[in-house]
Amino acid sequence: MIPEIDVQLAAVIKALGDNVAPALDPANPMAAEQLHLAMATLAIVRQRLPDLHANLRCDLAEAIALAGRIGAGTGAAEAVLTSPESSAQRLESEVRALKEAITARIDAVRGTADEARVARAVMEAAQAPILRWRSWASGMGFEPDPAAVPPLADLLAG
Amino acid sequence: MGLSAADPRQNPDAAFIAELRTRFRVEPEIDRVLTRKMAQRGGAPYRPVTLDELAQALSRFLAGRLDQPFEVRDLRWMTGGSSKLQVAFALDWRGLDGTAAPHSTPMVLRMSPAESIVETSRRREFEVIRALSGLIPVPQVFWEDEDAEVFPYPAMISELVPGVAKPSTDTSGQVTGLGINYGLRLRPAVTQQFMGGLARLHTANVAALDLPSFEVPRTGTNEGILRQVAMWRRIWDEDRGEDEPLMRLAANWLEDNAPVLDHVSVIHGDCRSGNFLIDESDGRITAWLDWELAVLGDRHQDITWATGLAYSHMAEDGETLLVNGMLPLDQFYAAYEDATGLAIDQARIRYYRVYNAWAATIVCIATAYRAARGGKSHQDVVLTWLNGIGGLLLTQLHHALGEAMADALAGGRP
Repeated sequence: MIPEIDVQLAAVIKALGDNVAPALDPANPMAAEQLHLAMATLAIVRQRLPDLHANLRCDLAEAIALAGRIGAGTGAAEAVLTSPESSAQRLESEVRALKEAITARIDAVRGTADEARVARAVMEAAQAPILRWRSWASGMGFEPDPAAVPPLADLLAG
Repeated sequence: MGLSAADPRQNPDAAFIAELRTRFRVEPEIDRVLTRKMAQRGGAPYRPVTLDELAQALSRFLAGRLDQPFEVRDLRWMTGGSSKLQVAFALDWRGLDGTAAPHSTPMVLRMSPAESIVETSRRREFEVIRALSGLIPVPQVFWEDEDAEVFPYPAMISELVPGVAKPSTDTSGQVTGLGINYGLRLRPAVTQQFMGGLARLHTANVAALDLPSFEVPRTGTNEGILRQVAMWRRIWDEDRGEDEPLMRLAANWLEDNAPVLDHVSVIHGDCRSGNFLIDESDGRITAWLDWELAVLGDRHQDITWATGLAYSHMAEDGETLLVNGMLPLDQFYAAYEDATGLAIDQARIRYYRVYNAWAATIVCIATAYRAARGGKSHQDVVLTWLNGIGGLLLTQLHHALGEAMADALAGGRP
């Protein structure tokens, strides 16, 4: 069995907390601040790494839907989404390409009769990925009311 | 997620840089700084600098400017903020002209890393602080090295002013000074001080200020805000990882609905609790800080920034939202109008809420990402942490833009 990433990350966090933090120079507050954030970042990565692939699939499905709705064209994106062999890198690459196509479409309809319809579609489609972003980062201390943000698992399942 | 290999922004060629400069017209000093950033992006990451190294650079720098014996001592790192390196030190000297009695002045060396969360000019920051001296409490600024002739990166040296960014009773615990609670004892004095300072800033006679690196927008036009929108569009296109349809929608809306300027004010650009120091004994503001985003423009930019949700908290009654840790929103507006004699225009409040949410999103999801990706700053781990606030910022942008668009559809102005 290859090394288990979750255990490795947990071990690194423990080493930093148990052995590195007490050895810091108290006269170096930047070192203490950055160690604290480094440990917190590793904890978030450990928590979210298993959800990376599912989140990218959601991003791509939503981008395909929006592109179709506003006539931006979806290229090979649907095939990438449905293929079980699509890597995280491939999914992300398609998301980026689609977002470029969508923004190009937003510019293309600017000042035309289609502008308001496209704007409405973009506004509506923005809500789900934004909420997922907030849920992904809900443990990072920025949310005024973290309990109001749905759990990531619920959003990925929906 | 950063999994994609191809990224034209990570090592931009001359044509890529030139195309952005042509497409987005910005103020000349800002153009110079952004162009330098892009030209150096493919180069080395930030190289950690030691205090000994900085002490030597300080001595070399001051030797070229002071015709007197001096000593640099007690260098120490300062924390706080997410943008620039800051080192406090003491300078034993006889003053700028060398005629004062020997004394020691506490000072701050403020230096950019190779890239930071906002790429700005130390020269503009130096000029605006110098120009405001005597008008509002600001640190005395002594020298700048924007071209990094002596220091490893662009730098500025100013007085170290005593005071705290947030009172010791505050427990908000965020990375930077978000949502500061001044408490019942200090809140009235801090509010009065803040409003008085903001009034002097926004009503200052801009024509009388010595600001050679700033362009003055013409009243009766929207050229100033269009230049600012162009600057942020350029930064977005220089720094982002992936595009974001909502960001493009907002950018186009900001261009199409840019309001006309009625009065030119000095705009702080990051005007909020946490960006000034107070004397904890009486709430007096000892210094307004962090002028790197200062611009000449519309007062509504600072008003909407200061009254944003991120810098608000609930009062002791658990029901009243205090904007900027100071007053309920309507009372904040009334106090501002009383202090300045300038009207608050709700149409422009709505416009600048969109503008500020859009610009803040660019800072946190584009520039912070790009600087960290290249290993360009002294605290990349802080920058990647700030990426996490992107969803919340996009929610604010979505809300502000939705309201403004609905208002326009209903027949009102933006």
